[in-house]
Amino acid sequence: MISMNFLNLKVYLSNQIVEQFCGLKPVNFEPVDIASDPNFVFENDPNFSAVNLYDAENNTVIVNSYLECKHYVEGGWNFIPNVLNEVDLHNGLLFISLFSLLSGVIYFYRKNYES
Amino acid sequence: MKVKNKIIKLIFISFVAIFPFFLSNYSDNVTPEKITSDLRFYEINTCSISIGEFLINNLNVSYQDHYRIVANDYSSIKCFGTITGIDQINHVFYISVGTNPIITFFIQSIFWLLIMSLIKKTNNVKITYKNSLILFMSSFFITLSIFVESRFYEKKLYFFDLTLYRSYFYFFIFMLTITFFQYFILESRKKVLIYYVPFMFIFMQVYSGFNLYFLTLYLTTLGITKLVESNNIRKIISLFFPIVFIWSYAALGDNYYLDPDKIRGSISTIYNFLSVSYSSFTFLFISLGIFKLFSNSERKIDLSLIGKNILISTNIILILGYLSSSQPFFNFFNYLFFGLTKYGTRSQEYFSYNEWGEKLAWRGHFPSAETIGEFSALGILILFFLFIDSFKNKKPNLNYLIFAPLALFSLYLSNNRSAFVMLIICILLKINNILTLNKMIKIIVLIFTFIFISSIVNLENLTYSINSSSQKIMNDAILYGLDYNYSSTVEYLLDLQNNNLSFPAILMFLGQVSFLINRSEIWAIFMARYNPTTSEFLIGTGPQQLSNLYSEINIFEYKLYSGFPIGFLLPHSSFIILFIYFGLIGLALIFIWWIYRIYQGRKYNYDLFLVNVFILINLAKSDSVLYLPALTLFLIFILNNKKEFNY
Repeated sequence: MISMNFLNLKVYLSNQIVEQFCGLKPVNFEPVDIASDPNFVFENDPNFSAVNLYDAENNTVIVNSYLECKHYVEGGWNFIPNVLNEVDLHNGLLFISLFSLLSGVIYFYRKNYES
Repeated sequence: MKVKNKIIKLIFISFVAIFPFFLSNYSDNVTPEKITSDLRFYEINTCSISIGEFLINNLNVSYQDHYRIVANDYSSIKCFGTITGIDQINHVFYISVGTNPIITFFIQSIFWLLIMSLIKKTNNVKITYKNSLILFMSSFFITLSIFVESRFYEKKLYFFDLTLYRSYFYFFIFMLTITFFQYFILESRKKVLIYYVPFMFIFMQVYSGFNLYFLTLYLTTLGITKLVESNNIRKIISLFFPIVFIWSYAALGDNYYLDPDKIRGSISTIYNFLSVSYSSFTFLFISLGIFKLFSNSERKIDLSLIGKNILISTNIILILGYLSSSQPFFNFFNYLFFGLTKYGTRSQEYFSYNEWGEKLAWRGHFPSAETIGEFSALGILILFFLFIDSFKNKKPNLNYLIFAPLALFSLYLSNNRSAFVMLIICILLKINNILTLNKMIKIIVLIFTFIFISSIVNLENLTYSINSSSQKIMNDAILYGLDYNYSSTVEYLLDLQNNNLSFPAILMFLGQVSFLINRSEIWAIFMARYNPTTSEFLIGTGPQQLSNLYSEINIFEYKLYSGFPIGFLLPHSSFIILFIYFGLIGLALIFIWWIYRIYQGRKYNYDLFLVNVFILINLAKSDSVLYLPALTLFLIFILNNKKEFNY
């Protein structure tokens, strides 16, 4: 009984994670056993907005259907990338800009003074 | 020393253009694979392979036309210059390259500033509190555009939360940095800058991922400077505020959006109270900026120099257009580094005709075939003036004649027949002006000209009954309207039709003109969309505002006679654009001012008069005012008058 509940909880959590990354399950969605078909090819779903998924090593993949997304998320592509990196890069650009600006102001002031 | 400096700059320019596209993590074990229909490798390894690295391993991608290299604006800074995905649609591969708008903003700015720094300095510029404050103001003003058009930018600027003030602080500093350096580089060359305006047709300088021209930063700064310096202008401008208020008030509660497509940088993407107010002031600053740019030139304006630069530009544009159409690598590179609003054409059908036997226009490098046709014809016209005058002065000048064949070819490819016809008419008027021909010769020339023009223009149009040809535009407008959503223009036309009233003479005249110049269907589409209130009809919806025109009224989505989708079809008349912006009163005032200018030119300088007539007639059937390079160049010719003009 306990193991059954634990299994349900696991499935519930897994579905929650899939929903978090892939959005709500489409109404007409039918699960496919991909593992049993080694030649399975994912088809693009025009109604599905492509999603970028990340693995633990920050590798990324673009998925184009709910089925493909679910498959990847369940396979471990469920990491949120290190978002701080982008903010750090913005800050880096800000710093370079301010530094260039200050250097420019000093340069032109010195030129004023010399002339 | 100076030559050495230029060489260093050229090396640096090449470095800026190449280096960012080779950046990637070379220490990882990901090496680019040969591109095939199995794209799993590139789906897994996104943002890991630089486009440079990829092209070295897939050299065929750079020249085979079933590959497309496209910019992916909504991408991370880390992904800049790397492959963010490859898709295959039928037999065409789309290779998407990360072009984060902020990084592109800096790279494009540095590239263009370095190129502009090759122009010889004409004066010194001092840093003062006044110009520092103006730079702050102009940067702040341009940053506001991101706030105003946040719906456009939220799909472009990756990982910036446009609801936070913090984000705008970043944008402000980025804008200020570029505006600062741009101001000092351009201002120290201000006396000769207008001669380089024709090169803007090569370097359109629109930022990738932004609805902004590079030159807008400088013109806004100049515009604010002019406003600060001149008491008179401030007094006149005070009259502008009530009109801005009326325009903005009319947009209250609306929120129409328009994808700017090929007119990016020249229009507002959204129509609401804030955007109308903002774009009105943008228009004001840019206009004052162009005026100041013009008045900054110390010497008398040298038409020959502008003409020669137009010719050189048309030749370069043609070559770039050819490269763009045949090589995917150049198509992408040109888009980014020349700051195009649209990728160069991929069509290589230079001499093709459609099923009705009409030549297909080829636009090449520039987004509009019509505008580039006008530009080429203008260059040839000025060359002809120089040529004639040099013979008249017994100093034959054959320099630059070498550029004429390609300019003529460019005009042919653009299929701009009105530019060609106007070119012939202006040339004949010039000959008539300098030679004293007897009446008989004039009549013979007139007959031959008429026959020649008839062979170019569809003369069979004259065989239709005047009633049906004049009414075609109105009938088409009604057919394009959808009965559940008629525009006020169509309702008015239907009212006349249902009550068996004849169409007003002015509409019949417009209908006949549009029919003869092959604009009746396009202008009918405009009429089907145009849904003005009385105030909008009289004073317009405000400058740079086309969003309501394209979003307010739904019309039939396919062309009546060909069945092709209409898509984003512009009205193909700068006068219609000005009419939408400023209404009937504004358009009338612009005409009065312009005709007065033309009249002045005729009195003192016949060549200038002809150039202005050429521009005026061509603008009637082209959208050139929607491109900043064309608008700036044409305004320079219009703003000229006797005292400042010489060659």
